[in-house]
Amino acid sequence: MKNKWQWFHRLSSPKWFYEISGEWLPWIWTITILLFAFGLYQGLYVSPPDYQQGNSVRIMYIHVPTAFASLFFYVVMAVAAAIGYIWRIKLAHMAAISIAPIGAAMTFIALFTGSFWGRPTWGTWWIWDARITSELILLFLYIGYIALHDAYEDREVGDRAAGILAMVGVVNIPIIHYSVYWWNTLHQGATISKFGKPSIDEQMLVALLVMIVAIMLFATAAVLMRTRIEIIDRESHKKWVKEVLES
Amino acid sequence: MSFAEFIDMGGQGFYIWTCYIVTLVLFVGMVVILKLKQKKLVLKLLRRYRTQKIHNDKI
Repeated sequence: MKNKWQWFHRLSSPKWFYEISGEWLPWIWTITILLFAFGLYQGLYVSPPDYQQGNSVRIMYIHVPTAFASLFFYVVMAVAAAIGYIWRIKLAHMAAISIAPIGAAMTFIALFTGSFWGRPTWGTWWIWDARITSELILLFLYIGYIALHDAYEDREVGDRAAGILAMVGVVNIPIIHYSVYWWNTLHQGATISKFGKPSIDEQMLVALLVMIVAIMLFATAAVLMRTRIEIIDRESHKKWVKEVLES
Repeated sequence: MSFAEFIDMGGQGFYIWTCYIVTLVLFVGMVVILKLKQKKLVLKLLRRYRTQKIHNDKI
């Protein structure tokens, strides 16, 4: 009999996920590389310098996408951890722990490029304002999640304990997002707004949007790769893993 | 625009290129680390499967 939860069980099957992600990855990589080629050309060459900031505005094409990815993947990680925690779905925990290092890398790049953008535009490498401090806390949340997860001998206990940290840490996400409006800061507001016409040059907007998609796809590909490793590691005693690896 | 002007980026080349190069290194590094991790794990598991098979054959 067809169960209405059948799709859910299939979706939560590590074997199914391993197979489907293996089919998708070559496509994701191809699109990612094409988008990077176009996005870098557009961002470094075609798009104009900013009327105030000059060429340093080109740092935006890395800074904004990585910052966006750092927030987006944190939410995905926390949701995965919650699904794993509530319904005890192993695949969700595997995805959560696989997202963490990639999210941490995105957070680091956002902070690093922000610092190198701040120096020529604000005249300082770093300020302890709300946006930058809360983004730094995000980096610590990612690192803390990984450290807490690895601190447990029993991987399943680690999944659940670190999962709670990931879930609690979600409160930081709206703080980061709204920090530039809630507190006075040097940091500029959002470049692209859902409402109203963007206040940005059209060539810049194209470069930014292409780089956002490219970096999001890159991070997705890396997360899928990492999750596939986690799957074969944790399911290594299963017959299908043995068959896949020996073929 | 000459190549030298492109690299100079109106005097801001140092900041811009550092950002792009660091990001590139980290992105490539991530993929390389993941590939190596996967390879190491697969070799470890294949070795384990082989010893299990020898063990089973003996019984």
